Amino acid sequence: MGSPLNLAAVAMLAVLLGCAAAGPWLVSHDPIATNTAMALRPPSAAHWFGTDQLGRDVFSRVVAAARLDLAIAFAAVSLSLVPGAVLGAAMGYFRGRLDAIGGRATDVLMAFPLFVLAMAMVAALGNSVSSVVCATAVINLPFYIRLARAEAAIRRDLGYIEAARAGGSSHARILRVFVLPNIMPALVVQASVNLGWAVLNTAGLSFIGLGVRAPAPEWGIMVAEGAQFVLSGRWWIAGFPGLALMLAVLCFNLLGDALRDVADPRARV
Amino acid sequence: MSLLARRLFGVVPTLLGVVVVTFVLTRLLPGDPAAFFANSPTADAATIAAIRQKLGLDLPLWQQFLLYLGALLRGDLGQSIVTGQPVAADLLRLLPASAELTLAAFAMAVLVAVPLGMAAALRRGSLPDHLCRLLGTAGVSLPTFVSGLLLIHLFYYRFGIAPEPIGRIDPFAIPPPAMTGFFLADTLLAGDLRGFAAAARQIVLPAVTMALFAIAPLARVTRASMLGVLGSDFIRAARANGLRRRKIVLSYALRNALLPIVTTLGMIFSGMLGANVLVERVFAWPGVGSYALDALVGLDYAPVQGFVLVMAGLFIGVNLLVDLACAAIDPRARLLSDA
Repeated sequence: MGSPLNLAAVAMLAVLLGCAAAGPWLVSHDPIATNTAMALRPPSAAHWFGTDQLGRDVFSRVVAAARLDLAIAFAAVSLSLVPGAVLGAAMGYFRGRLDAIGGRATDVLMAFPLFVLAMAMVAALGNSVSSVVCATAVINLPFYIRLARAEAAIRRDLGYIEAARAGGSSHARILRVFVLPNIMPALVVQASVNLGWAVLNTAGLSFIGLGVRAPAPEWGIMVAEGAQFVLSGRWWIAGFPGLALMLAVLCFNLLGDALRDVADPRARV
Repeated sequence: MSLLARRLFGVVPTLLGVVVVTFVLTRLLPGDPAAFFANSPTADAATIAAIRQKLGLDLPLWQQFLLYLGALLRGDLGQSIVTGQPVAADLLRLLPASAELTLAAFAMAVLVAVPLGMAAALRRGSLPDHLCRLLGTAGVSLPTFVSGLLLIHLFYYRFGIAPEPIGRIDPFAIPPPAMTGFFLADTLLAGDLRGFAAAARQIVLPAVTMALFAIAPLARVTRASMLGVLGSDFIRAARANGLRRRKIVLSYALRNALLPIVTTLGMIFSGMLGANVLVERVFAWPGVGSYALDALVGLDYAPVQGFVLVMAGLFIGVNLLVDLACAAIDPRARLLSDA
């Protein structure tokens, strides 16, 4: 856990969370104030990351965007973690018809290429941020259900569960007190990897114009807006938000790997 | 063959589920398709009602679903409002462009990732090993649309060796006679080497973009799987018996390490089908992803429905292939023989 790479990841997470919490107060320029006289300037001392086609300060926008991107990712992951854990644990614990139906449903969800499903869902639910959260939660749901089901299925016949049952605990109590807390570590590892996917997914959706709308600062939209200027060599408009996006995902992936090593040292590769 | 048959049969409920989900999703799409077909938002109520009736939109939802299912069985995916063509025809016309790009990227990823992962496992701590680990973590963090733009900036703008990212061929060039729909294959079949080179130049950047994100998980799994196999007793026995290294690595270790690699290939394919949309957008590639996006923007629901269905169908097919490949690799899975 104490490797330099992991420490760097933790530091990066702290920076990201700091930007998300205090971003608007940290930056020198208003992230949505336009100033066409200063449009398309390359990075300089006044504008560290340059300015975009409307003269907005790219650095301020990149920092301010952390809030929206991280909020969506955290909301989506918790929305899939909690129902996924409960449903999966119940499926693994009770088996029977619930398990059969739930298993079928997860099979169907996983039969879609995930990004395509997310696209169709956002289009169907309406082009808004809450749809992106929902879509991201749903495409990640099957992973939690399967994991929770497998972990619960291993434990249902173990001694301590049997003892609880013999002691007269109800099924609901057994699930809540004995099964769920025990399967949580595996799910939390999955969640930290998923945060990276969720950020990527959100940015990808807004890159194609779904979910977050301009002028809100968001990494995916900023890359989309800067894309046309890459052809004429103005790389900074898309480049810096792209870099921020990459670092955020990298940070979550590294943390996920580190947590996995702690939770399950055998899986280390 | 009974288990294979059962596996094939098991796809049916999944396919049905996919059709139901797609149907429900696209019926939720905002916008009244009848108002679109009436071709004017101010069309009077009677016209819209007549069109609704013609399209079957006035029927209860379950009847609409049965009608839809019937049409689907006849290969009818409905009509696109944006292009005015049947969706099935549009998709068939555009699918080769996407397939060519995906397959090129897939081939690239496999050719780079598997040898890299093997090299990393064979020589732990060597340069390939570090490269593999770096790629494994950094590669999965790279959003395809960012890496695509980065490649465009470097190879088109900075070095000037890549053509402008505007689709499959130069807009002034004549497309090759369509035989397979794959420009790379068609130009070769027509004996047009210059055309082949031009098509290849166009496809390199988007294919590399897609391959980049596929290489990471594949190299990682290859490395882990090979490491596991190389440490096992039968490899030590083979080595003690003095077998040649080449034979040990290729026919003993790789064959046994193949199972997780093949399973990962299936997952990567799913990711690529999704990434298609983004990469096609970045490189203005005229494939099914761009088509679906245009339809989505125009609130044209039939093409979106068709696209989602085709993608899910392709993915289910690939998963079946993966299962069959696993059975061929590992006879213990007993998928092919009913023992």
